[in-house]
Amino acid sequence: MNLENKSDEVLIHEVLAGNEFAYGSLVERYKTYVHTIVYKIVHQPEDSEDVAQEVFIKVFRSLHSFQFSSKFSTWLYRIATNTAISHRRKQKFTTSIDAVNEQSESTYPLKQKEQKYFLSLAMKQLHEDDVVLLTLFYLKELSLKEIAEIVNSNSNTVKVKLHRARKRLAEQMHTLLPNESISLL
Amino acid sequence: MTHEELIIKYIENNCTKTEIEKVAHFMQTDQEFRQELELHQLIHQSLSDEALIEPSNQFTEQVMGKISYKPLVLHWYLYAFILVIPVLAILYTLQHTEYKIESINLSFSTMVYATITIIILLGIEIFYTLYNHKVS
Repeated sequence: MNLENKSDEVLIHEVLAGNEFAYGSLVERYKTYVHTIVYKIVHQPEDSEDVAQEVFIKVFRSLHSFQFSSKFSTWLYRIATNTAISHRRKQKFTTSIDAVNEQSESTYPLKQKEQKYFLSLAMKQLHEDDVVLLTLFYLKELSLKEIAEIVNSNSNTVKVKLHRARKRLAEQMHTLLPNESISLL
Repeated sequence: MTHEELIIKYIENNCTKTEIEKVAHFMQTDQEFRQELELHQLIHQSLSDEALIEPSNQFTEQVMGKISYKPLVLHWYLYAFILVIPVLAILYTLQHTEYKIESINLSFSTMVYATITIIILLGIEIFYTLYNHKVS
């Protein structure tokens, strides 16, 4: 059986038995999600890849302590959010408006580009807890229960906090955009 | 239920039929409500549409490179091989001095063969050590 077809649990056992190549399959499987989570929390495109790599190195080094009681992805995303948060705390936000603009420029058409631009600005103003919840929720990969596990909370609290995070994001958007502009976007 | 709660419920598709009718009504009669709903829809849509962000192509390779790094450890017998050559050289030299050991009689050709054998063994050992280090 190819490494790619094996379950996370099987791959973890293989890594723990000394087959480091099996870990490459786990990295390959989750690198995009981990990188996306880190990218959105860190908000520094130039750092996000290094931080994402740091996440996988941390996970590798503490793999022996992984309890198979939860999904590997949940555990991995928890480490990813914690690592990204501590990186975010360490540095001031120096990303310029141009950098945000540049990021959205290549990927989206004009109207969407503006939406992404203002959304990025608004997200940057939010508290890290709000950013984490919104990022994890909109990954669409995770249930509320899994998000709760990642942030060490329970589903109902996460639901309430998500409501509040959305509300605060909307408030930030209000401060950035006059009411008339919203209809235009 | 506040307008805001109603709006969030609406964008999350959790509204009852009555609540949907309420939303439709407010949309027509209350401009502030309409703007608020549009803003929440914009946020919801933008966040939902956000694509996953791929790292670079070398990402996995770089991670594996960092976790696979191990200091190069040479086996003890590698040092033993290296030590044998000077020991033989010393013994050979001693044969031509007053400190000659009677039981040891090393000819020059024996010395040369021994040295060549040791160098070959040393080469094989270094090759395998470096090869295994690179693979791991």
